[in-house]
Amino acid sequence: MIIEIAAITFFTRFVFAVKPGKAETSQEWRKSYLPIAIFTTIIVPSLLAPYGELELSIQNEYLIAGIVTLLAAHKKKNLTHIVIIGILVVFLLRFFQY
Amino acid sequence: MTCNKRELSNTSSMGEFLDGLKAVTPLALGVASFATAYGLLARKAGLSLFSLTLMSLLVFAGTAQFLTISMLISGTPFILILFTTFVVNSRYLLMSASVGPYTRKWGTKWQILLSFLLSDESYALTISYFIKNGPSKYYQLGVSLGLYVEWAIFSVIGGFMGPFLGDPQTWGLDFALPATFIVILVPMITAWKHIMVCFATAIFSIIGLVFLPTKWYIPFATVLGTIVGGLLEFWKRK
Repeated sequence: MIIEIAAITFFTRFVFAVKPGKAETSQEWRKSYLPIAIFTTIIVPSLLAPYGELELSIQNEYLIAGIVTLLAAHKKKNLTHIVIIGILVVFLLRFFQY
Repeated sequence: MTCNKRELSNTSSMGEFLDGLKAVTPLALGVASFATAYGLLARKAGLSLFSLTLMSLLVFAGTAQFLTISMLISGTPFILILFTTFVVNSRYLLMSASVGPYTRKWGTKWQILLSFLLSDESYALTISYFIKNGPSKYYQLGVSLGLYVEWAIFSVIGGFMGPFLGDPQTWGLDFALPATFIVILVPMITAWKHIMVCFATAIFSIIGLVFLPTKWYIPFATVLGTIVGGLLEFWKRK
């Protein structure tokens, strides 16, 4: 099973890397928009629906911590500090909710 | 980065490789806790230490590995596990298409190696470096290999120490990953168009999450968000 999953994963990582792209001229804008779109797609649902269901409330510690992390990332440069701030917010919110 | 830096680092492939390794350090905490959590869950799901390590070495894709574990726990049919793996990994299609124009010039061996090692984090670091400093296979190798080794080591640690570490959720460590992605995304946003693409993609991803099955929102929102970016660009040129 692990071999099949590994093969599929490698396929997705490799197939478009080798295909000589006709769209290469349009690569210029894709370079800057594609990463933004990919990371927004990963981040937004993980904050708004951390357990699979949409959860738009202050009870959602991921949403609160996400907003704090976003603000911190906007202000600060040190990546490790920002990640620690996010983790700390989640920890504190959970600590006081229970 | 300045031109000087580029000229300097170009003279030494080792220097670029080390730059890549260094670039991984801010992400180290996120990756380590994610990998440890994976090892822990994999053991809970009944995987042997050997299998969970083999999976980290051969698959090397956090989200796919987590999904596999959770589907194993819930007794999902094998074919659906494979299908979900493909859907959740479909973002790699787009990422590899995005670095493809660079890696294609370096020959098949490099391309196989760098494709195998491609991950969300290595892609993010590599593409921002390429845009700033120009392409470097050694930089990409440094980033990718650093993440690969760390992922493997901490998967094993998670597998070993799992029962003693307790639940990583208690400490908020599960948030390390989204936090890492936010930290990667924010510096990429340098113009109003980027913000608009962010908002559009956010809306598409929520629509996809609510109305589409499993993880289909990933390719759905990414493609539509990128198209919005393309349209904004096209509109500006007109």
